[in-house]
Amino acid sequence: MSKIIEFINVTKTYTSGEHTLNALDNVSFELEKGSVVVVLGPSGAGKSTLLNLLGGLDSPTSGRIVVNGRDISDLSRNELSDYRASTVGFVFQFYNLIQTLTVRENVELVKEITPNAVDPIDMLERVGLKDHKNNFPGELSGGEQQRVSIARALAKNPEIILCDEPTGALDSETGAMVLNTLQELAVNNGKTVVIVTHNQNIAKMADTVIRVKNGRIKSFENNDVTLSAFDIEW
Amino acid sequence: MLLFKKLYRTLFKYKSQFISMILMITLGVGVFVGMNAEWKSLKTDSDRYYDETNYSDYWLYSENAEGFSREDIESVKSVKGVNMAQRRLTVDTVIDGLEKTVSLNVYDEYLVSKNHLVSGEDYDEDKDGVWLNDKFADLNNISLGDIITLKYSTYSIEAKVLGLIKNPEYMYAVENETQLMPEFDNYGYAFVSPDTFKNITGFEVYNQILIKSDMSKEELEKELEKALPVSTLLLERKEQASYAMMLSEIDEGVTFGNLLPVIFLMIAVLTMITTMRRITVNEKLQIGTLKALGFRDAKIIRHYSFYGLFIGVIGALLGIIMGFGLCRMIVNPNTMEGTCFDMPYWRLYAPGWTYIVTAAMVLMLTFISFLSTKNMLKGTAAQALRPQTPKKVKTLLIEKTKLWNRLSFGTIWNIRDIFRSKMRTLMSFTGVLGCVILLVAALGMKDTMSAFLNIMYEDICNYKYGVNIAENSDKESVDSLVRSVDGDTVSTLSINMDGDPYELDIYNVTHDLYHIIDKDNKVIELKNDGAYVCIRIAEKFGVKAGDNISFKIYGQSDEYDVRVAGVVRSIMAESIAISEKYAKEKGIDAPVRMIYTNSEVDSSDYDCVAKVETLQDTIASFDTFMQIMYEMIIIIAVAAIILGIVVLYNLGVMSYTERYKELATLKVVGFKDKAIGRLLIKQNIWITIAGIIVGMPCGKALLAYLISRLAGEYELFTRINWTTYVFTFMLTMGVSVLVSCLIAGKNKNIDMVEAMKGDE
Ligand SMILES: Nc1ncnc2c1ncn2[C@@H]1O[C@H](COP(=O)(O)OP(=O)(O)OP(=O)(O)O)[C@@H](O)[C@H]1O
Ligand SMILES: [Mg+2]
Repeated sequence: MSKIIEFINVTKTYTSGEHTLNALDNVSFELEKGSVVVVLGPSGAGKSTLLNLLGGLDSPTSGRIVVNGRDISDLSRNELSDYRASTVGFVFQFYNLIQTLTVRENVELVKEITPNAVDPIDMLERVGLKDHKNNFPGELSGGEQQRVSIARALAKNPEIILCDEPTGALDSETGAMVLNTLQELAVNNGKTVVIVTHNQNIAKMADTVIRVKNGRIKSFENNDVTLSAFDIEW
Repeated sequence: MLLFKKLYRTLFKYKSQFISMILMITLGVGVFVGMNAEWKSLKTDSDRYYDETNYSDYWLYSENAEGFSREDIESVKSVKGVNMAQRRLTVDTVIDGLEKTVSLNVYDEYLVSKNHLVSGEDYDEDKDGVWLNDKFADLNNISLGDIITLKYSTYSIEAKVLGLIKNPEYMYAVENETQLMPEFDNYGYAFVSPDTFKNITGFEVYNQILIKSDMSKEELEKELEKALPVSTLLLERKEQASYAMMLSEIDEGVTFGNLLPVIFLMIAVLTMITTMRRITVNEKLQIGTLKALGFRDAKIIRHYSFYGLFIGVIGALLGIIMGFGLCRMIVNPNTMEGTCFDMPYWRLYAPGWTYIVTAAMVLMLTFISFLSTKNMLKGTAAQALRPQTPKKVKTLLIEKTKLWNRLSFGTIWNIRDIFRSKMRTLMSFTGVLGCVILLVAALGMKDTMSAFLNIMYEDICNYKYGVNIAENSDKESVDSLVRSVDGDTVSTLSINMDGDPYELDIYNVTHDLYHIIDKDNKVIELKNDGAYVCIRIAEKFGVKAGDNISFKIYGQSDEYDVRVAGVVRSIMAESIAISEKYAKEKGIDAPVRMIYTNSEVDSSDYDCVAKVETLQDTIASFDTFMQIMYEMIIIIAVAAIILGIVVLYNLGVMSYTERYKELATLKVVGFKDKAIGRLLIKQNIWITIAGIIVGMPCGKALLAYLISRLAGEYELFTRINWTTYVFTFMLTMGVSVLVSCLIAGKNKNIDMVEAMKGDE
């Protein structure tokens, strides 16, 4: 398997007034293409910071982040936009759908930014929401909305899918469905899926588990045996 | 005080909204107070002037050379209902050395239309000297104690300047009707006592009687007809140029004051309603928290209502200051109104009710915030704590069409947003609409005036010099002058139709130097087949070509019956035009008033020439008038643009804040700043275009209304050049794009990480 993501001595420092805080402190690791990665850690550990840097929402204070052989740590704003448009798909705890667009339109909008976009209807079918394509997000349940946001992330046909607490607002059953969708993407389509969560159990479906504490990597493990999302006990 | 601290923080948090609201109210109240203070000040100041000088109510003009005798004035005085009457002689003289016209007045008694003393001694009929208009004196470097010589006919009246004065009859003083604006340095007026005049000229003649009376014109006319042997011309105040001009200026002010501020005030209130509602919706959680903390509803409501009160009071105060500032720009002895009127008083007054309306407006604003808050406080604390659920999006009709699926997501997003926030959209639309209406009307006003001047001086007047003929000139010498300069002539008579005075102009045009125009501003030939009546007369008497119309000439008893040959546009006077040949046929004869010519005439070479004016000079006198017009237009245009900017900016910020999360999402997904900016600008542009499309015809309608109200005494037309439309379009579009870009620029600062975190 080939290496797709590489963090080299990455530090992210936040300064507010006199205080400086290293949300990430000299972090280095590598991730394999097509793997499911779970990032665990207590609140304030730096998980979201890690994900945001990887997703190009922010740039590191020092160190390098290499994705697909390309250093993204000092890209300009526009280059970062292009990187987000072509390479990563985001899924957040709060689905962040556009309320005034229908399900289908929410997914379709990525067509405007990437030439790689795949058929939005296919993506909706994949997450099991084809019948709801003309509904507005407000008319769907939380889990359904989350799956729309996955479909939107997928429609760009990105290499990497980044999820910050994707099941945080869902019950266990819908949570499992969402996770299953993500797992299938890695297994069947070779996408690299990074999931940030509080939930230890989710680690059981991961190929790689990263534990973060106080901005540092506490442990980095590769699982030999992974469970299917539906077999996880919540 | 916890709430007080919060108040301060909230004001800071919504500073751009609060500033927009304050600006809108300042602008609204400012335009409202300013425009109404303008006419109120003119009215109060001129009334004070009239009262102080005991300004005459009626003027009686003698039509014969002997003027009014002692018996005449006694009979007028004895008429029941006449409170005061006095004879007056007014003649045009030329001031020696300067060769400028000075209108000389001799009062047999000094009771009515007295002078306002500026400096020196007050008028005294026992003193030998001259009292001169101060403005004319200043502009010509004449001071108290100087000796001036006024030439009248063959006499030279030499006297010492004893006092500098103003007289209300010369408040708006133009030398003759072709001038629109007074030229204070070229035309003055003076007073001498009857004794002084008699000592020099050896005669005593009075061609006018000034009357103070509470009777109506009809009553007085009837009484005078009985009292006096001959028919005379009686004019009331509003038929005098000076009074009429002031009256129309005040009327104009009332029209503007009642119309334009409404647009501004309405938009201010609407802005307030939308903005306050948005703020309280945004603050719902805070409001709920306060409620949950145990604050009473009343206290919370009071707290939020205070915002409205605060904004209202600050805006109103600034507005009143701005209003008086605006008013001072217009009502000012040295600028706009000052170039038109010569008045001693220039104090500013706003009508009392403007303060009441302003106060009511502040109360209303407080009430608006009260209502908005009350809306948020409905139900229990728990309900109040829940964020306001966004309105459910409804499927629009157009979505059923095929076209819909072809639209880009940005277009779809914007269309839905427009329909979701109807009130906000309506507000932006109204703002643009107001801006466009004002611009089109203001610029159209300029177009109309230019077109009018063009027609006047390109089509109608085709001569270089206008030679004014002195009264009682010898007919032979006038005729020989006409021949020697290849001139065309006009004679003017006052005629009476149904009791009202009109003008009869008799033209002898053989050199194509003067034209008349029809309703469509086309030059037409004045034939010898009848009378060409002006549009106003045609409408008033319901006549058209082929009908007959009859009139009497003042000072004569014959009634003339003429055939109407056509309807023409007479821009200034309400008049009937006939050819000299037709006049002869009907037996009407009148002395030449003016010769139109292209040859230069030196007034000192001919006794019969009172004055020669070049068309160039007359055109120049309009320039002053146009200057005032431009200043007025600039004020309105600037106000319109500020209005547009403030409304669009305020609503733009609102829409941006509301869509903040969605914009952040788009950014996360990979949209570039520019692309997001374009999405934001798109919506503003649509609304702007809609506003422009609707606003242009509305602006045209407003202009037509204004012209009919303001220039009802003229026969004007409305003209809007295509350049005005183009300019309005570009200006409005420019404002809209500029504001959009300012707002679109904000999206650079969107904190994606922050925005993705959660709901609050
Ligand atoms: N914009 C910021 N400015 C200052 N400090 C920040 C900022 N964002 C995050 N931090 C700090 O960085 C640290 C890491 O934050 P991060 O959001 O990565 O934590 P997390 O592991 O995702 O926590 P959680 O599980 O609660 O989401 C925290 O201590 C946080 O206070
Ligand atoms: Mg986090």
